[in-house]
Amino acid sequence: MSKKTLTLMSKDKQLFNIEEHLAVQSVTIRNMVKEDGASSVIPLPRVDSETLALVIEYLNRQQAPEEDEDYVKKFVDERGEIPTLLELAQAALDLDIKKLMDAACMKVADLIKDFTLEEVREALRIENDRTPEEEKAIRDEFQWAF
Amino acid sequence: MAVQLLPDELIIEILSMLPAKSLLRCRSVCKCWLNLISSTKFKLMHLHNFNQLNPRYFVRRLLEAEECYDVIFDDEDFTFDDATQIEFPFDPIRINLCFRIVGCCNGVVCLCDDDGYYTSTSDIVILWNPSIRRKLTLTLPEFDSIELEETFVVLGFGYDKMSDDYKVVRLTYPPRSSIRPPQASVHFLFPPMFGKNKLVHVEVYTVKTGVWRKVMFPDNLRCFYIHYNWSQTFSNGCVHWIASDPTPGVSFSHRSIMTFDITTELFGEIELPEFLAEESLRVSVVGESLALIHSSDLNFDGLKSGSTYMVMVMKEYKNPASWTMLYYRHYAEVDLGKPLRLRNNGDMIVELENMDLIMINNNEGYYVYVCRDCVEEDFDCRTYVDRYEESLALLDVGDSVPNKEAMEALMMN
Repeated sequence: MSKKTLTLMSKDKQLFNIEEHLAVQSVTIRNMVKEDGASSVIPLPRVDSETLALVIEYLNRQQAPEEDEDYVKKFVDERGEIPTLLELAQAALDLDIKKLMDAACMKVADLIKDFTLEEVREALRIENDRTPEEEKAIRDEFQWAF
Repeated sequence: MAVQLLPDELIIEILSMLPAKSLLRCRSVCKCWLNLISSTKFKLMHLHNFNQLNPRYFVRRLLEAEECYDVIFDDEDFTFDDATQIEFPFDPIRINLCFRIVGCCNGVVCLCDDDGYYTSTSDIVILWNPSIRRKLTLTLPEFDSIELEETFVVLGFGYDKMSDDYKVVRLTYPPRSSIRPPQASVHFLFPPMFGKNKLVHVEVYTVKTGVWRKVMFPDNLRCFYIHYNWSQTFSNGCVHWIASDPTPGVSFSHRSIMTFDITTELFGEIELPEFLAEESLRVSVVGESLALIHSSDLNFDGLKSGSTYMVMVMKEYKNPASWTMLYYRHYAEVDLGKPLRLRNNGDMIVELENMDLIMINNNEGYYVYVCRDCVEEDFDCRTYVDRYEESLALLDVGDSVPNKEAMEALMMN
């Protein structure tokens, strides 16, 4: 009996095939399959093709459950760039793949933990809405932490 | 083109895995991060996520009359080095060489500046969050023990999940000679302020209110007399102490675990395994289970010939029928030392007589030195080991503690 295959479509309209039993590790996809059989293509409008390729690589892993934890860690470790990790985390959030999202976030946290304020803002795409005076007031309270 | 913003959920997840020190900085990143990081919901999420990734232990040792504090990773090595050392910003003012550590819970350490033997109601109690260098000095209680003779005080410290608050409980004991079991018809010898039926005076301090208030002590506990050299263990929302039956003539031989529920503020009692009810014991935890350590080395009197350690765990909380032996170890050839605490995996941290620390492996019984730079000191109860969880507690109450460098710089100017 041939295994059932699903097709996922990235933001930039690229198509990826994946076996259904692997794809349903994503809670989002599992719910879609349950609801309407998901016979046609599943569009993922927020995930670009590079990231989706990574997600598919992750879903296709063949790991014994006891090695899985280490595998996820290594998987995100090898993609050590913050922008890639954030894309991956966001895709994992959309697709509801908790382990992958946790691991990607953990890696980002590890990378930014010693960043300066400006570096944190840049990495996590935050706009500074404080006046220098406000920033200073908070900074002075815990000068040693800066 | 504007950069696409990240979903809040992702930001929160990432921030919840950062060390407290980084979070202090991140409060300046933008307005919504300051609000987020200050919220109770986030603080609890951070407490859980960060500490699950970074399980650690808090260790206090007394080295050459200096208090040394370390935060150590709960890994195989359990290594002490320069990086694990944390600065201790306080100096005891009492004659004691170091503070008594009441407990360590959700990132907050409760310290008491007593005389090293007896704690009294006039002793200063400090709550300290080393991760964000903040402290809160408790006000003195209303109840004054000076008018009572020979009383001593037992403290307990814990975190109340329900009200997201830290609490300190203080039990003031009358002299043992005046303690009568409630059922005895002998007249009370208590000073009048104890009230007619109150054997022990109890007060509770909550960080959110900042005041002490009286709490009823029950009259149906058999074992409620805690040894002056007490130590507590906080787990399952309760403080646990070993307590004895104070009935005259019973000579303190019957013991049980006295509990104080931090949320309901009710006292209780947990029966010990019967064959241990008259032994010297230490309460600890293994994972989430309450545990007992029985050791020949908890009694310093008498001749020792080798060391024995037995660890019992309570599989189901507050069900004495579920006490189960985890392991029994006998070392015929060596006198090891006093058990201090169990690790989550059941390994036991033991303090040798020269204050070196060893770790007894839970599966195979071999032991390794984890710390041997201690010098010989003839003091009891100075080394303290407990789980440590980093947290943002006391961020919005109490005061910041200047570190010693900053203090010195200030003095120079």
